[in-house]
Amino acid sequence: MPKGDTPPVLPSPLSARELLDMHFLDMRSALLETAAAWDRIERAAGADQVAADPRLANLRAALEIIARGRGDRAARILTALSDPPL
Amino acid sequence: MKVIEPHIHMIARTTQDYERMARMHTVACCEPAFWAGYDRTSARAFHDYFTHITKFEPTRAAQYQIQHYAWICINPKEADDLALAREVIAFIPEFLDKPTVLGIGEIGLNRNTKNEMTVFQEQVELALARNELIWIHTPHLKDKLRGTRMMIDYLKGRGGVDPERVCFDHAEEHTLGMIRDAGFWAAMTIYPITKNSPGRVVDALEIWGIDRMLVDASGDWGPSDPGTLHDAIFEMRRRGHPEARIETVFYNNPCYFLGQCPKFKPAPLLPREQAWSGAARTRDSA
Ligand SMILES: [Zn+2]
Repeated sequence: MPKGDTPPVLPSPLSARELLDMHFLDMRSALLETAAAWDRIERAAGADQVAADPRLANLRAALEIIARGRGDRAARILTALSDPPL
Repeated sequence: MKVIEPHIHMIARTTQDYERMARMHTVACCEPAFWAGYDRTSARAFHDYFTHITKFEPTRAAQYQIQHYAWICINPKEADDLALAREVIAFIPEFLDKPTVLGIGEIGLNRNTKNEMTVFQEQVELALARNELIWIHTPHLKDKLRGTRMMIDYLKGRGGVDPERVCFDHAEEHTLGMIRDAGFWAAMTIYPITKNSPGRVVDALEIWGIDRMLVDASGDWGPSDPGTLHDAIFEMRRRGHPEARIETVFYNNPCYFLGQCPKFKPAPLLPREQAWSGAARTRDSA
């Protein structure tokens, strides 16, 4: 399962600052795309009927994990969006 | 640096893609049998498909100095019709004997149904009886976690399956742990939207190490691009990883896994213990 509690096998050759510089604009852009698409859906006819769609609830849960998580964010989002194991 | 593409559906790609791959130093590619984008209407259609990927594609690839290999099976998306599946399984051995076929694949699950599981199990038996390598397709999106767990539990419970000879493809952050803990090889598929991205693939290599890890680009009939494999190479470079480590992931590792089939010709540049030393976590310390 998620490995956030253990150090990576291969520590990143780049520092946290270098990685932030590398990725910030992509991260910003991905969030903006999500925000704008959500607004677009809400502006369209029939917005009430999809307000309770489980896919939007999934996205809300994913945003919580992004905002509050520490490590393992991707694994925890994928697990939250999965059918539970039998 | 030479590159091997472990999973791509060249039947759906143009000759120009072979040309691009050759220019990007791809020396070999592997084509697992899969769904065509529509359900085939008879067993004969599968026979034609298997003939295409064992005859025409190796010839087309050779024009670009690329070795083309194939995996043969009835794929999970068309495995729900048991009678049809068994009709196809009956002539699979004929193709397993072809000089470019590496084993049984990509078998697996799609919607995790009972019939899919039956067809998976019957093809595992065929592979074991003939000592073939196995390439496994794990389901997409919300079905992936459950389906991956079902197949690992089955193979472990059955016993007699050497995990070194089995690769689980389309692994993501939430399935890598269970695949690796069970000792299987894991492949990560870069595929826009539904699977993985170059950035996340390199994250997984950093977190888990490079042992028993493969990366593929899965070009097929959907929005995809063989060049995304090379995007992952570039991502690993720009994140500062040494060239020898990158070469192991994209060339040596495919040689270590696929080379267990004597028909696979490319040879690794160094023994795997040496290639993985310091860059892999052994299973006991995971
Ligand atoms: Zn495939």
